[in-house]
Amino acid sequence: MKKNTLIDAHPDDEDIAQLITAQSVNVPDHLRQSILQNAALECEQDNNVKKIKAHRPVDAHPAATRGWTRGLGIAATFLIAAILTPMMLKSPESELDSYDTDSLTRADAEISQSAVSALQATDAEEMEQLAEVATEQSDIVAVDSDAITMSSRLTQSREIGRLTSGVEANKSLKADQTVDSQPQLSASPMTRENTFNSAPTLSYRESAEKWINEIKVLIVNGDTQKARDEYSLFEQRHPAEAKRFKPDFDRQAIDDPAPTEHRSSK
Amino acid sequence: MIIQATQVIERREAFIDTDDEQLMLEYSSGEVQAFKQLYSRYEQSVYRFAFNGCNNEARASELFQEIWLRVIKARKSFKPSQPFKAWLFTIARNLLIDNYRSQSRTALDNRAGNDAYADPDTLPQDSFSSIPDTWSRAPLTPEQIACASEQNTILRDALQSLPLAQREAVMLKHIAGLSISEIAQMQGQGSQAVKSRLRYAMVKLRQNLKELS
Repeated sequence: MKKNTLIDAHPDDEDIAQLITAQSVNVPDHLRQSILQNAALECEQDNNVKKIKAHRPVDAHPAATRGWTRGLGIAATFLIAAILTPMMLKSPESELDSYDTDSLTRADAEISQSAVSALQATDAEEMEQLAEVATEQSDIVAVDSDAITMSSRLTQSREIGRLTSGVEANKSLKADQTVDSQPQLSASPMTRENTFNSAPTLSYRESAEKWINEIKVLIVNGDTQKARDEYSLFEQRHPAEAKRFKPDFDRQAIDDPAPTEHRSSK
Repeated sequence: MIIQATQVIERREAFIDTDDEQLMLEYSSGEVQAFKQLYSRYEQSVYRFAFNGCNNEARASELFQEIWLRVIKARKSFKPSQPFKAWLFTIARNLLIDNYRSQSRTALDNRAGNDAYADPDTLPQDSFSSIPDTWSRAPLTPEQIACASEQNTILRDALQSLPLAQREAVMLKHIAGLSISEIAQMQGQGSQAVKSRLRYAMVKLRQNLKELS
């Protein structure tokens, strides 16, 4: 009856609106508590996150980031170096450089070593040759000043030959086996003949008479071969004189007593 | 303890005059007292909205709890430029519509083969009125009778007899307290359409109240 009275007494929209607005409901307490607890829990979680962020050192994250970045950079550098180093070692330029350096060093060592050995060999050979020459000329040097002059000239020719052989030895440095044999070749009889042939400045060859006397001395000393060589050269230089002077190499005789005189006069 | 209680009371009193949007911002920044203030302001209206929408206390309680949980979860996404009340009842309306759809599927399953009930997603909005009608005609449970007063029961029954769009407009206008423009924006209709719905709803509600009473 009361409801009907209310509705009938106020049949306009405002009364119905008031009726709806005034509708009373009772929210269960457990719903209220549950909702408020949820709200408080979510809020507490937010506050905890804020506290953690607030207590975190300001530079912690950037420092960690920087450290990580630095470590990554170092690792990348090592990686790039590990990749590039073998490539650089295998590059044509580096091969050329290393080859040049090694070859030059090796060549220098070879040159110096071979030069020393060549000089030593040359000195030893020269000493032997000089000893031989001295032995050969010892008799003549003792009696004839021309022979002494010749031996000195021979010494000069030996010096020239030694220098020549030294140059040849330097030219053949790369051949290790020939280094030692080269001075011996340079000091061979060929070299000796060349020395005689290439010694036109010998004093006795300046005049025909001295040359004839030298040939006679060689014959007297029994050095027939040298006497023949000298005579053959003499024939080439002085063909007219050679027709008049015919030495007897076998008898070791001297047709012309002039050399004796010449020797005795000296 | 006394100091802490005093501080809580002071903070709660400090939020009494604060508007809804500011309270929501305070809560999203970690102030739980702001949420309590908001809750106390809208507890009754939200629960009434849910209860009148589904006419089932148990379902209303679930909806009520779900509405506030969504508010709590979505606190970071709240924009103070929009009214809190409209935002809150938009959430409530969406959940209520979801509830209608789930209930309509159940009803469709119960009435299999009936062509009069099509998929609610394809129906026009006013056609939803046929779905709650089935609930309004359902007998009240003993709990409903015990918990609600007779007048409230009659009023809910009268509301349930309205088409969905009209009932929704009435609830948003007189329970939520939204303006015509806010209701129009929420329903995707013009203001005149909302006014028309409200007018028709009042006429029909009056008739239903007379019949029920």
